[in-house]
Amino acid sequence: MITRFRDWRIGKKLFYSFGVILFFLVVVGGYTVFSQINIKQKAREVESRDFYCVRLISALSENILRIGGLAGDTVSAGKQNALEELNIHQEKFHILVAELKGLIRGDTEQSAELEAAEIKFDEYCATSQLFVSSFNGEKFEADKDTTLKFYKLSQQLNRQLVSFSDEYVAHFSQSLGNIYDLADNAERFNFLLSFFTVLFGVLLAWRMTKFIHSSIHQLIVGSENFAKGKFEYRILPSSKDELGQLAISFNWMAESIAGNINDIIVVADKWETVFINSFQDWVLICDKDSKITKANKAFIVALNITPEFVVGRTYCQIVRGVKDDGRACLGIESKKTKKETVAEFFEPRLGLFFEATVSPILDNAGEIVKILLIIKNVTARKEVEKEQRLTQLGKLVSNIAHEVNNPLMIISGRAQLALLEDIKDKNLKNNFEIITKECLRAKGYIANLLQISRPSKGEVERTDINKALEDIFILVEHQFALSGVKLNKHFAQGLPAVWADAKQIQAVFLNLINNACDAVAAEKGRIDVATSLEKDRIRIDVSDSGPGLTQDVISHMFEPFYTTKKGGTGLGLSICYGIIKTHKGELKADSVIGKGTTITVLLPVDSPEGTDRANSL
Amino acid sequence: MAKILIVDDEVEILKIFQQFLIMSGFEVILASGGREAVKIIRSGQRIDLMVLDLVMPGYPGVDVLSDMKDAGISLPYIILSGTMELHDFIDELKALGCPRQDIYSKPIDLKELLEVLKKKLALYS
Repeated sequence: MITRFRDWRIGKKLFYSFGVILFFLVVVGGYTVFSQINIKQKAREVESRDFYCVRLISALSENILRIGGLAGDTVSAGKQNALEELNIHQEKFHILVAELKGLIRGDTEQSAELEAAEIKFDEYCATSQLFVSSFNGEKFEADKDTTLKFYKLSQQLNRQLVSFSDEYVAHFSQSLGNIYDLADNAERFNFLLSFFTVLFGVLLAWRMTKFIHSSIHQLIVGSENFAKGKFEYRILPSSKDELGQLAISFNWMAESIAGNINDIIVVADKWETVFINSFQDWVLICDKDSKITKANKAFIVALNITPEFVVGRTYCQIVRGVKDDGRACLGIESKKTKKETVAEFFEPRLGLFFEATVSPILDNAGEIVKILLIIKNVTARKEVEKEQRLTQLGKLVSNIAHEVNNPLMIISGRAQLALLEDIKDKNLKNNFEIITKECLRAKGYIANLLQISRPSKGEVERTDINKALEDIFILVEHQFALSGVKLNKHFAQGLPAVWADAKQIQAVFLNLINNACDAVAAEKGRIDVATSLEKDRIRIDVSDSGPGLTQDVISHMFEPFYTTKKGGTGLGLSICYGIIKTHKGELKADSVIGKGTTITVLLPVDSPEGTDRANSL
Repeated sequence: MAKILIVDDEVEILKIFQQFLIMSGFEVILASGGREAVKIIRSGQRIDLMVLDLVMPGYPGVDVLSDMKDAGISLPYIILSGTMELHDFIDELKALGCPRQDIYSKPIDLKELLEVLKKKLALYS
């Protein structure tokens, strides 16, 4: 089950990141405001103190000048008025100095200087008073020293004020310089702070982007895989944040969808099983390597195996018992062409004929994903076809026999007539003898041919199979002894009799034993003839230790004119087949390459129905 | 001298048997078809033995035998047929009382034929 996070990890990260950036911005902004206020205050200070000082100094200077100018005014305004004005100016001066002192408080040097100037100003005022007092209505009667002192003091005071004023201007520019420094510092600090803010912001943004990208990339890869049908794909949550949570949600969703799909697959699988089980034919669903993934009931039951056994094996492994990696079995053509193919073949182990339809199932890209095999037992149809073929052939042979036997009679008759003459030429005589002999051989050949279609209607009698075989052995024993082939008998005792044409049945056994002898003569092998009772039939097995027969040979060996022997007619086994069929029996072959061949004859035993059947022969 | 009737639709075969049997000291009458054979048989002349073909156009050997039976004529005979497919005739032959061992197939060894004829004649003489 999934764990759900309630954390706001990414949110927090983002929040803190923006918080730090905001903090930096606030610091920058705050500092800017602070430094502005500071600068403004400094400016205001300069304005309120230094400007005022300068203005005061100018006012002081004006007072000094005014006092200096009083001498002239005394003449026009009168002595008394001039003295009063002098007092006003003196008083005004003291007020201004006091005010100035207050402003430059702290600067002791300047205060001392100002005090000295005050004393000097008072002296100057006193001298000025003396000078004005010396006026008697016409002219100033002040002595020469007082006059000189008056001018000297006036000049000194002015000089002092000028220097004081210079000092203040210097002080003023220093104050301005301080303000500029302050502004410069604020600017520098602001720049640095802004730089680091931007740097920090960029780094933080890069880190966050990288982190979010990698997490989202995983999700993209996950969803792409999911879209491609890899429902088992899961994302490994890289973090415990919202993206990790999203990854877990994705996995949860994937699991849920995969579960649903699985349910659908299970239902489809069930349906498939029910569907294929409804077939009487064998239905095999294989993967692209021909390995069976599912087989229907008909197949399982027919081969008496479990459904688990078939899975992962190929048809050829199961049915033919051969080593097979799925490349050499059924449907090779279909794998190449990706189209349906139909093939007919004989399964020697089962002794049955089949028709297999191989249908490759392709995906959207046109690649084989599955192979469907539908295998139909066509043995009955094959048997009918074979009998029809034999019947047709029989009719044809019958016509040929008649048409050929008459000319043969004429040829052999003429040759025999010639031989009745007194022929001196030995070669000529020999030629006629050969013609006669060969005509009779041709007659025998045609007689064989005829037997395929309709075995002669000989006498049907109760036949002891063991005895019939014993009679054959007497015939062939000598021949076997010469060729060095061992003949072994394995007879079951007390076998019931069969209704049969003993001569025909013996012909069959003779044929089978002779074939077996041919197969083993080269290596002086062995032949085993066994009889047994199998349900209501007698089974006769003629086995040889010869080189064995291929499946192809087995599927054709009972057909007329099919032979593998040099100079063989291809009729022996087809005649045997016809005889056994007439007796309502069965003739079949089983062979293993390198080990040998077994031909099996099955003949129904005597029974009340058997009597009827024998009469109908 | 025994007189033998040979019935066959193949003239060449008639000629061979005629030549051989004459050389072997027989008297020979030839019939190139069923109808002709019946005519000869019914003419009442002496015939000691008949060699009869089965498959003949228009009037097969079996018909010759049944005509003979109808006419109440008893005549020793052997069947010499080109076809060994006797199933079409075997029941009829059985009904006409022809034993299996009297049926021979062409081509036949002339000496064998001579043996057969001699045996048959000895049986009826």
